[in-house]
Amino acid sequence: MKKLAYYPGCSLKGTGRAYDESLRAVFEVLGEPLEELDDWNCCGATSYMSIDKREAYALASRNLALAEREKADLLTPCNACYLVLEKTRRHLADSAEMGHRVRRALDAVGLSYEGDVRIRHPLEVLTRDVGEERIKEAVKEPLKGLKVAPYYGCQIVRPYATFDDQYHPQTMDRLLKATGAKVVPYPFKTRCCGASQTGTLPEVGLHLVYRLLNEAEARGADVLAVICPLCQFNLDAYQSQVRREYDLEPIPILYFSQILGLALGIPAKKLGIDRCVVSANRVLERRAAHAA
Amino acid sequence: MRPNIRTEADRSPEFARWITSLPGAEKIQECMHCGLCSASCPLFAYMDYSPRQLMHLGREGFEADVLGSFTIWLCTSCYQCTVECPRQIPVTEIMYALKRRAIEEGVYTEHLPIPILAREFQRMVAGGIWSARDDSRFVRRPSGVDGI
Repeated sequence: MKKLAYYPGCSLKGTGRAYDESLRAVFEVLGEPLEELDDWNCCGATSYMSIDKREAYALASRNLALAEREKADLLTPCNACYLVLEKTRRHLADSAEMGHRVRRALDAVGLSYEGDVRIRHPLEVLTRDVGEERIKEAVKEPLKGLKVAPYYGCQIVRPYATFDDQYHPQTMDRLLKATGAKVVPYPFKTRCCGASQTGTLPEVGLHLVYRLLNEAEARGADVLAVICPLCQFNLDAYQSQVRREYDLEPIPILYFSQILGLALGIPAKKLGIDRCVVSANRVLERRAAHAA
Repeated sequence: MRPNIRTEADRSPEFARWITSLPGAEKIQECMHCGLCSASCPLFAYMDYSPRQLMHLGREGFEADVLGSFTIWLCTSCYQCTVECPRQIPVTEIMYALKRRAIEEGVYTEHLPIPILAREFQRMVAGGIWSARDDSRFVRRPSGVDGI
């Protein structure tokens, strides 16, 4: 496997800290400790692209150049970062004009980018490089009976489906099954969570969150598993507001890496489980019940 | 009450040329109005113009309607329309271009906070890159970004 430079992105240093903590812990236990890309910067997310396209590409490409200098591929857990970096990589390869402008900007800061960096996601690395067999062997506390709804969000499979099926992604399902949990059918797997609309237009954003939570409840899920820090934030932090308007039971929202970490026997504290707004005690109790 | 009718006089040929010259957007000419972009859009119910209507208004040059619509600001870039379009029209990327032009021309709807969020986010990032190396969090913007 080519060396991986871990690109956490801004969210994983802030609201999504539990994602960062649990990923590091899981990769450590599996014998592939993460090494963070030195001096990385913000990918620009969707907002920068709404203001200035050239600057947005230059900003993102700096991270590609830094990874190339380390002869590494980028390991990118956040959906928005993943798409921005992948889009930039493709755009620089396809557009001579943009490639030229960006190279000039990188050159001004002593960097270069030849196009030799792949953008990889933890789901891809865990299922393809590490492999489910190795993960199954490493499971110490199977999560038997835990019903999980897998929610992937949008930008990980759209517009590019790089490592999973665009309409029916399976990589997280497979990892969750490897923990012994039961994966319930969840047709809203890749439906939009509302992104920043929860903050800017709450009546719109909260309704989108409601539909996702309601579907999980209708499917009998004990917990929703997510892979994107913005999805996690929307579903978790806005849940009490949604429940004020709609009749819903509380449901914990965990990163897939937190659920995987629990099965690997990693202490809940190390996985950032206590950072959840909606209590994840029901998940912890189930683990304790099986351990007993 | 003024009837909601558009006439030739409301069209801007320049705007029509601009929108269809965006990368991949020449395919708007091939739109067959199947409506999959609108049907698949999770924000469709809240929009004034559906994505299909917006693409059509754009290609006909109805600049004021397009740039003044809520639709471009409701778009969360989930790319559902883009992957559904049987003519491969890059609807989401066109939405981005429309956002940029609306901000440039200052014609976005005043009471919508979304363009303000985008602008402030961009200023924050451009003003000081979020860097992992430095605990101060906001460090110097890489020089050279200005030059492109």
